[in-house]
Amino acid sequence: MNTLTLSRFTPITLSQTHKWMLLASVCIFALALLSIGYGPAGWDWRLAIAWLAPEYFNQFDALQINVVMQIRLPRFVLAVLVGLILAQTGAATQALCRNPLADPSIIGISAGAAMVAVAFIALSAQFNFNAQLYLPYASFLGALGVTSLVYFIAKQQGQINITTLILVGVAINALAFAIIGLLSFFADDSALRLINYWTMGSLGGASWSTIIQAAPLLLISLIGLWRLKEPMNLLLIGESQAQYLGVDTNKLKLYVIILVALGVGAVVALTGLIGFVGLVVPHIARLMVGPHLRNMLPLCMLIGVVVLLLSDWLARIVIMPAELPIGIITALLGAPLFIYLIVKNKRGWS
Amino acid sequence: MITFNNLSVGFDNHNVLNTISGSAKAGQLVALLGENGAGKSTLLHTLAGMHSFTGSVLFNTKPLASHAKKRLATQRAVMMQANHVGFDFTVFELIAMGRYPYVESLKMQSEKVHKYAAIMDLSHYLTRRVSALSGGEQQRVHMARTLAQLNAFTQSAEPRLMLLDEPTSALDMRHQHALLSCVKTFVEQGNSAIIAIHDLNLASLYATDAILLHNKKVLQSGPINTVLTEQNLQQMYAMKLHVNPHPYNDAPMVFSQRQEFL
Repeated sequence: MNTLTLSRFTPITLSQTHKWMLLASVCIFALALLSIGYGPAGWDWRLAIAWLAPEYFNQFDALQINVVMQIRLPRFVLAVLVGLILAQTGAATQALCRNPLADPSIIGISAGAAMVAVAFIALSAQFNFNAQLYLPYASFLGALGVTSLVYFIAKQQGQINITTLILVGVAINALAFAIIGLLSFFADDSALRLINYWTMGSLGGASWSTIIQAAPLLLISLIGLWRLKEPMNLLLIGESQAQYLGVDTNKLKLYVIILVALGVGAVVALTGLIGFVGLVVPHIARLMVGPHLRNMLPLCMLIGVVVLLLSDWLARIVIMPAELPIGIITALLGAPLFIYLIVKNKRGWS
Repeated sequence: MITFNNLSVGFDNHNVLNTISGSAKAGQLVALLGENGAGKSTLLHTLAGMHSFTGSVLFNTKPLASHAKKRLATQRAVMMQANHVGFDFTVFELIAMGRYPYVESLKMQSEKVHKYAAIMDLSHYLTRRVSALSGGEQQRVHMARTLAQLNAFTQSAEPRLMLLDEPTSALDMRHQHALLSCVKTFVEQGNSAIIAIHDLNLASLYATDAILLHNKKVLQSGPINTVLTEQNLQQMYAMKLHVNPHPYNDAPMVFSQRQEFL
């Protein structure tokens, strides 16, 4: 073989990935203008940049600038963070289970986190402590417990059985919602509203202080999973194959479980249950650039941000002036795709 | 290179391998022969470190488990049969995974992938999705990945080991010989390989040594010319077989004869 002609060849997926990432970035920029510029306090795209240098934008009063800085900006930042985390934890869960149908909301991780979060809120009223402060950490523990439980139940003779995985998810989701329902009887009025909002998901509660509280968990999950993308990629071709290639798979799986639980736990504490993002987004990214995490993961995370910003914007305009929970929008988009994937993959189940 | 002594492996109280011993040294291409279910794959998996066992497995005179994983991956590669990949990677991506244990630039990695793809006759398939390939083509992709993992056909101070489980089962005759001659050249450069294989004549043409597995035990092992005898083979396969010299190569050839259906 003539190696000279061969070495000029570069893998096509690289440039393809960059094209899609550019497109996603443009979408994010447009949605940023929309999401920061739009709201009950006024709709003007210039609001999205006015807060940077208010002295040049005389048409806006101080109140409007303040609304942007204290309400719309934290909401935008939260949407970006949640989009990144949900997309990445979805892709990581799929690598862990070696199955494109796995998703933290489907296999019960999010519900487990929400259950512990709700229990925490309900108990805080009884025992008089500040639930808000420790909420991200409590729901992290819930997510960690469920992830470990689901993983070890579904693992039979070294193989993850996807049918068991999803059935366990169904059971855990049902159990978690039953316990959430039960706890709501013990909650006072304000806690009840919080609980309601947990089960549907909303970015409406965004504030700088809650974001900063959860930031350590979010950042550890984001950076940690990002750094594991090469070994996680090898998990996709099988656990023993990954081991033969020099990956310490036991350690890797433990890290992935903890990092997914950190991310999902913190996100649930901040926004409640936003389902199906971790299923839909990696699927779209794989259709665009294939399953290799080096290409797929960055694109997947950008698409996650696009989906979150778009869903949040829809949630805000569909029944104006009231707001729809964002979890309804993502479920409406995601559940049909999930059914489609099950039908398509039916023969591939083992 | 790799030595195993009194090796026993069992699943669910069912013994699959019973106190077997053997070795593969630098320069040896060992054919692992035996009936279906004789334990060939189990032996390969055990030597690769997948199953728990009693007895000892020494790789370069040290127990297998005591080797650092990433370094071991550059000295020992495993190619298993039925290598189904659930996610649809391209041929390029799959071969590039063999380079995981190495620290190198993407450009360097790409050159390596092209080198080993060319050896396995895959240069024109690099951008294809693996699911679009035939079984034999997929087998060649996994072989190219194995070669890439061991940095085959380059200078190296330390000998390297290949464990291959029926690498030729889906290949046409030309590619069977291409793959085995490639492994033979690799072995002649001071490395070794253990291959589980059903085709006795291919084994005879390319292997230096053979291990015959029968009834959970080693029936016989040694240089392949001395192991492939009518007596051994008839005992192993419980059927009439003839061994005659190859007309052009110095290798015994095994002929079966037509049977009546009972």
